[in-house]
Amino acid sequence: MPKITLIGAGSVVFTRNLCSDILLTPALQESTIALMDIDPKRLAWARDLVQAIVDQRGLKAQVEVTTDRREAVRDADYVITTFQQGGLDAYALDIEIPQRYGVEQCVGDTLGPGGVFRALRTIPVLLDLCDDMDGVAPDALLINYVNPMAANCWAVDVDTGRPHVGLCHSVQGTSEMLAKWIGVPYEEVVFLCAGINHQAWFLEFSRGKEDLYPLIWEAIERPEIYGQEPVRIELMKYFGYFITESSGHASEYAPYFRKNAQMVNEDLVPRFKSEADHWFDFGRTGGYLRYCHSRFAEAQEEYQQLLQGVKDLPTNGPGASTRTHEYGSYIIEAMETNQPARINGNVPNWGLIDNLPQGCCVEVPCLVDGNGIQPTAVGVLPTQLAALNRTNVNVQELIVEAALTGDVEAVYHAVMLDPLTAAVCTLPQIRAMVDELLAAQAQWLPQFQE
Amino acid sequence: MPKITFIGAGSTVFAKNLLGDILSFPELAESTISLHDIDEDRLRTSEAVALKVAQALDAHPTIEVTTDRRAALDGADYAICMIQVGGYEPATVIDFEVPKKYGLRQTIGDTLGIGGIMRGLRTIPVLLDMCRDMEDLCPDVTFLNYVNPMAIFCWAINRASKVKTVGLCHSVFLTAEELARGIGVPIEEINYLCAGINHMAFYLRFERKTEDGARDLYPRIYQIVEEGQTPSWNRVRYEMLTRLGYFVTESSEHFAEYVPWFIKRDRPDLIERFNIPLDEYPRRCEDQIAGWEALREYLEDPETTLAVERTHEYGSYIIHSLETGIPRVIYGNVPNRGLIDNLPPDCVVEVPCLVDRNGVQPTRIGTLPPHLAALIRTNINVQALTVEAALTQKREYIYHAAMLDPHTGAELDLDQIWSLVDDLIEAHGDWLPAYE
Repeated sequence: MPKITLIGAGSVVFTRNLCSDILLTPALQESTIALMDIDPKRLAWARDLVQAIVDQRGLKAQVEVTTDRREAVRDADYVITTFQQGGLDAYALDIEIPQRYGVEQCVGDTLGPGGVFRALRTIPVLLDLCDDMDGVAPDALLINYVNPMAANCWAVDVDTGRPHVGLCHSVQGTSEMLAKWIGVPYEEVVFLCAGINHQAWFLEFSRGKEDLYPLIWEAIERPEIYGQEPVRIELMKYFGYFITESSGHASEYAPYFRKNAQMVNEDLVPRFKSEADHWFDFGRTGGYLRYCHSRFAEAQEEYQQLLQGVKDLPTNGPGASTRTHEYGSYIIEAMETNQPARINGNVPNWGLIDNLPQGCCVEVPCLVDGNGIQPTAVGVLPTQLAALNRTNVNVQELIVEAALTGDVEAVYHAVMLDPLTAAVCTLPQIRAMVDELLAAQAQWLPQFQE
Repeated sequence: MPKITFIGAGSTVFAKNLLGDILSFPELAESTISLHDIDEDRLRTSEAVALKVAQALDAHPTIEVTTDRRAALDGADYAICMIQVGGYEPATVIDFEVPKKYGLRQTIGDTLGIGGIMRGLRTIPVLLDMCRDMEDLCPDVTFLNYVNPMAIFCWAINRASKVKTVGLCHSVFLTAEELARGIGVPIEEINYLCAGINHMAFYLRFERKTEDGARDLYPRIYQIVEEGQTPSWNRVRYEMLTRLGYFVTESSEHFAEYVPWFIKRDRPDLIERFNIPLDEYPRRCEDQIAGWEALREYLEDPETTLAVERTHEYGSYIIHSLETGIPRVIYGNVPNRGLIDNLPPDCVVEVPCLVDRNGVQPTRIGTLPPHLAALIRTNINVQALTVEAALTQKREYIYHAAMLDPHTGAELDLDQIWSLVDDLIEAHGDWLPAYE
């Protein structure tokens, strides 16, 4: 049975879900699950939750906890990352400093100055972790859930070349949403999705030989549907395809939607009509940061609820055996049993998408079995989709260069090439903003210290 | 349920196996099966066999039989090709006897070599005609090609037609099973990764999953050589294992003629040492012809019931996965679009493919060990030139294909090669289109 290590296990909701999935998988029920976090309190919560699942289901799985990363990784077969470097303090700087320069980020964890700095903080930690893995778990698969996905995975690939895959649930979530919109049972839907993380495209959406896109075109005309996803629907109207990440995210990856505070508040925010979009505050600047703060404040209470939830779970019958749509447990199951599974994973673009740069991180369908993660080649994306992706890949490439070389010029360049920033700032403003961010976040950016 | 068309259904035994595989799946048991062949007698036998297979499985397909290819393909969801153009006589006899006059000996002659080239040239026009029919009558069909020379045919089809095609062969899984038996490890416990071109793919990984991680099984395979246990019929491949470090997918009698090192006119000692069965393919054909009447009587006898056992041919698995969405891995022959970096773009490579409702999706391999890629490229040279010849109908490319064939080039000088090609074209007569 494998050893599965979670780095950043204090992300208790995610840890609860992923471990529940793993422990619902027959081939993995005797696994060793090693939980690691730098925060002992949250780590203890995570342990209580996972142990409760093991006990409640009467399994033989072993749960280990440690704040020592190297020990957690030792002899692991799978290392799953869910940490956030710098926490909410750093994240607040990612949002607030750029806002003073007119860069109105809604989520700010993928692209934009926030995404750039999140990556610069994260990459050194990820590479250190890879060093640990090279030392004490050389064959382990790194399963990265940490954002910004593309820049992080790209850096891991360039610097270490080790086996890895980046995972996100946006493909599953979006495809389920589209199926619901058009009233087609999810099991009957077949889709092909490819591009980059958070900006992958549903190139095909069908049922048997029936193309379902005409139904999606009809659905997006309905006001209650438009009100859920105004940005993604606008992008579909103008680019022709539906995209994977939510409207709050999608609004900041392109220059069109957030040119100033007035446009955000008077044009964009009123388009959101669905309560489901509360987590990014209906597109308002800093929306997701505020959500994280409120979650953090309620963490103790949330943990108690989760723990009670586990204890109340039925041991059999409905509700007892439902795995979430997260790919993590399916990947480990496929690799352990050699039974093939299909996932959409983030992997290096060596020959997979012809019109995106070689070596960049792409999100494509992958076969998983005993041979590991095996990406399938997608070919050529429609030209306008590849072009929009490339504006994002530009930033990612410069982030990787900055993170690996410690060259501060590359940081300026990354932010200069960010489509949202470039739409609102002059070059001197960008330089001043980056300088301010570098100074404010110096404690997390060892690579830029003299 | 889908319509599945068998082209060349007079290949009775192979058709029987595939049909048994297909109808064993409940989700496919009521498919429409359309059997086509140009030979009415063989077709009648295949029909009788198909009915017996259905009966043995208690399946209820709709079985259609026709000598009209267009009728067979009309509305097909899947077309499975198992034709042979020119038969044993005259074609195979020509492929072997004419080169023999030049001292050029072959074993199988269906993949590479002068025999493979000629088989390719006489078959491609038929396959392309078939593709025109499919573009017309079933443009969304999935075309499963079992006909050799595999790589040459798939390449020609990919260049000249839009029909979704995958080439299928059993060498990958049969050799893996054979190796597993040889080292006494159950195949279910073995995980392998194989890639290259059809008939010359290599097991890049052959390992057993244990509690302590994956254990490489190659040392066990080497042990067979070290202990002098190499089977007498398999000496070529074990020899290549010791020279290359990897085991190859197609049999020793095949492999002997894909490279210049085993069949040499002035080295009868090599033939003996490596136990190379010259003229093996014609011999098999003659045996088959001799046994056919008896087999046919047995198959058609209303008193006999047929035993239907599932084979591991990929055909039925592909159809089942496409219909149900259950993901499977098969080894398919597909265009090299970003799959193997050190083989030419668009050549036909054999790699693991994910199959589900999205279709046959090749996975990327990356870079092969350089010496394997180099050896494979010597074979791709011949394939490229044969395809070029067939699509342009320029005679010069036939000469070039033969000149670049590793075995032919090692045995003959340039004058002999050109003269041999001229003789073969003449002997083929109407079996080949006119070449400029």
